[in-house]
Amino acid sequence: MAIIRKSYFKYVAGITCLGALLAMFALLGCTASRQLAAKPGAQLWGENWGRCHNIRTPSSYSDAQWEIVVTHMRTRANLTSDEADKILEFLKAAN
Amino acid sequence: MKPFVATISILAMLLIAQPAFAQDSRSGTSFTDQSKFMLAGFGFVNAVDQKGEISSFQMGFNPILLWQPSRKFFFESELEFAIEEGVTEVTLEYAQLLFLANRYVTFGGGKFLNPTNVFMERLHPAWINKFPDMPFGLGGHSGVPILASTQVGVQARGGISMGSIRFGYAAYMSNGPSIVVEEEAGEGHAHGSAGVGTANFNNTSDNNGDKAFGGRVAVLPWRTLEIGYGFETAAVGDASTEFKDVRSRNNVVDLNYVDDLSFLRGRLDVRGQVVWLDIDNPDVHPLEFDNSSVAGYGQLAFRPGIGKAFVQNFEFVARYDFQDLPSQVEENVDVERISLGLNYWFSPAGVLKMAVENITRKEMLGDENDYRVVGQFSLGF
Repeated sequence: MAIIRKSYFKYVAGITCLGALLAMFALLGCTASRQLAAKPGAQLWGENWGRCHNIRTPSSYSDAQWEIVVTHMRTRANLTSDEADKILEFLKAAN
Repeated sequence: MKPFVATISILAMLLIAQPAFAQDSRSGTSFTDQSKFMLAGFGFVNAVDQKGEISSFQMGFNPILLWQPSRKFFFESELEFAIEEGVTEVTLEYAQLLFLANRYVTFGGGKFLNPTNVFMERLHPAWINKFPDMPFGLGGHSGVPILASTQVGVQARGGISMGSIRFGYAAYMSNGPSIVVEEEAGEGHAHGSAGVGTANFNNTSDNNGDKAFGGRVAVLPWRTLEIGYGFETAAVGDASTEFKDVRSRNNVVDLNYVDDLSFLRGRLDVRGQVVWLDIDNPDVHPLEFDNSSVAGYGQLAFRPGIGKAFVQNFEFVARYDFQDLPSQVEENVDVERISLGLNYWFSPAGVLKMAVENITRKEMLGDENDYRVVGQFSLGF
């Protein structure tokens, strides 16, 4: 059982790494926002939507439906709200 | 991991990261905002012809309910309808309430797809998966599961961009798997367990108070490549038995590369994922053996980008997958499979797939080869 206890150390290390990553996100978040601001919604749409499956055309859904679909994709693909907002803005404009 | 330690760890991480969230001050928690509802999902029909077995058709229908009562709240749920031996079975694939706290973090609770691996969370739906079936070891649909397909618990997840590099993360606490110490009569393998010594991932309830803790961190060094590492640690022994201190550890690595390559004149889709499951050896019968399992797959897909639209709708796919269980596990049959397939996309979410698979089972008396042909028509909506 003592051997089993040793495994705790690995996961304490894992948790520490996750915490460190989040802290890094916190420190660099402001810089990230400026970089992201340069990317248009169409580019973000192309970059993120094709990563898992085929891209549907903007006319596939209504504006209201896109709002739901983009939120669904935001949570699944770990997008920031800024990225999701830009993509949604593009889809509505192109619809 | 003790629930207290896990909970404090998650809260500490969120507090550390809180300064980054302060920029997003938009409201949207009011349910008086425009509430939106949508029905999506997919359906499929399979045809399977395997040497030595009676050919058969299978079908499934998975409606997905999406409800956004306000800007900050979101609910998603998927049901799975399937016919098993003449009976329609309904499974709650996932049902999760999400709170979109700010730019970089979303909290979720309920039953959700396992965030430790990309395949189960993003690629397994029939209209997305390039093959009619799933790789070995994932979720119990194919082979013996060594990874949970879903979790019941709470999670925090999100992403952030730093320059041209993006990161994604997820951390969760959930009901853990349990270790099988005796044959369970009537238990099927789908979404569940196999024999003694394997983990049972039917985790709608837990067999001890020590919750599972896991997560995934992913980096996208450029827009076409995503590399991820996921893990889970959990107590798997029943709290009232001598196996109460037995723990399991999942480690998962994945690689995803999708790009339109001009020199290939088409779209290349490369996927790979390896899952390890290690369960402690308590030196007590019947679990007194080195209990380590591994499963993984590598997949290539190519869709031409030149020629007539008819030609561009074709997609060529190849996959290698394998599973290796401990020799002491009753159902142990190390297996590997090479699959070649041809897909035709009628629409972005409608596809006809045909695949030929060569399956090699490594039995004690020598390898045994099987061929099977699988077809599928699937449609997402």
